[in-house]
Amino acid sequence: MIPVETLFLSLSQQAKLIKRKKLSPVAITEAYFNRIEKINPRVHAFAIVTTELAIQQAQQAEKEINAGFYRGPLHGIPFAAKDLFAVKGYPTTWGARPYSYQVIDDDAAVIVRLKNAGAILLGKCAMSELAGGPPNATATGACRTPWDLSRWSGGSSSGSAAAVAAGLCSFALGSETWGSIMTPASFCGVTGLRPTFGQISRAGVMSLSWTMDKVGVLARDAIDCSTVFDIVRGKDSEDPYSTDAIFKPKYTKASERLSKLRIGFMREDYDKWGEPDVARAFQEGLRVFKQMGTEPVELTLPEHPYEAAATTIIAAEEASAFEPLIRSGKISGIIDPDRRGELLGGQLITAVDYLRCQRIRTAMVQDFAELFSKIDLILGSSTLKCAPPIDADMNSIFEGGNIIEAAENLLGLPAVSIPCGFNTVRVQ
Amino acid sequence: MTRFSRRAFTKLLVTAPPSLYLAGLVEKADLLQAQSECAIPNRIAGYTLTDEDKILASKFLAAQDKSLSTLRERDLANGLAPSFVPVSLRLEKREGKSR
Repeated sequence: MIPVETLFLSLSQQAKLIKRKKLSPVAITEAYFNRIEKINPRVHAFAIVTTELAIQQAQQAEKEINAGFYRGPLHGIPFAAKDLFAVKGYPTTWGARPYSYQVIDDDAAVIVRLKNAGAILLGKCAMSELAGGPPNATATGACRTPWDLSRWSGGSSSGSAAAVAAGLCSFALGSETWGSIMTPASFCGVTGLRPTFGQISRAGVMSLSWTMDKVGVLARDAIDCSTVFDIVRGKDSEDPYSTDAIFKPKYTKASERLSKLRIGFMREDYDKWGEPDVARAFQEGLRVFKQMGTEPVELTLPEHPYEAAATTIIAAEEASAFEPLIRSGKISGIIDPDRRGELLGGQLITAVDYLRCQRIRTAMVQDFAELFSKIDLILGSSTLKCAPPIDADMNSIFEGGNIIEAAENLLGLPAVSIPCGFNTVRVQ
Repeated sequence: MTRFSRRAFTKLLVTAPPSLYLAGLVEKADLLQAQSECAIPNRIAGYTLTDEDKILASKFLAAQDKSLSTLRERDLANGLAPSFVPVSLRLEKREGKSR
């Protein structure tokens, strides 16, 4: 019997135990399934469990490790994937009723890389309908943050963050077009990595916006995220936008390197758009960075209409991506009325407006290149508010502020969301 | 019931939820005329829109129209080409140095 604490160990800690044969891949897989059975009906983190596949993968991993063939840090590690990653033999619903019975007869490229690394797929995680919309706009019921089941886990990688936070898997795959990793990571108190655009192949992943979609990782800490990232990243012939880049994390001299970093930070208008608890947590985070020998300087972003450009680009591209849904008439099955309006209205965005936004994007890239000649990284709040109640008006929750999130996603910049404390009702 | 100018209708659509129209607070004839002014066609991608679809699409486009207004007033240099896919200049530089 595996103690529940083992299910909450970091990936790197679990990997050490598995490598030394002190933790059985089959036993930990069964333990996660037992916990999913118990916890998932309340959290709604998993849309589908892939029991048969997982047991087969776990048995194979155990056999290989016992025979002295250890593939690396993900060998025998159970994970979950947002339900927009294709997995052969299982439904891929994209969180939307019109696709409830969709089966894609191939594995997404990132799923293949994880299988080759010996990782074990426990199931597909719940997500917002077509990667957008409020808590109840999903085929599997509103996903809740495990810290407070009356509150939303965030979206659209809702189940991926909730599953990690609830100890239902070791790590999970998510995706982000605009806030879909950062927001649930923040609301669920886990670490989320949104890599640079093109670093992880999107082959076999639902397309929302070809020029803004990114695949990422949700895990217990940044080291775990980097371990997974290093295995799944890299050029893939099936994704023309994918690239190879140098990635050499150095942990041994982290403090030495940190003091040399030029850090900027954003002072958000928490009084207008945020919550005092988030402002306090961010100030505390800044204090910690200063204690570590850095000198963060306040900065303002180059002036651009980031949100208007992001909204227009996403709306035009998703209207094109989901044209078959509209043509089939199955768009009537989309739960969120605003989303239906966006998909239909997006068809009427003019080419000139779309190009105008893409041209302004070029100006943004130039301005940010200038900005990053003066600083190395930017500190900011992943969200300006804490996890909201399930039935809250999400339009008002996400109204205004946090402009940097639109900018980062337009520019394809990487980001890591790390837990930064709790508010007065114990929600991240 | 008052006939709306496009500007007034656009403002209404941005500030009011679709349920206002569905609840009968705006007459259908006025609504359809205003939608016509907003250039919502009866069919999109071969799909015939319901009255609710037209309202929802109008609402989205009106909000879009508002958010793009300042952007449209901006003169862009003739040579400013679209990005489509963001490229981090700094990343390219680092790759070149093989660090």
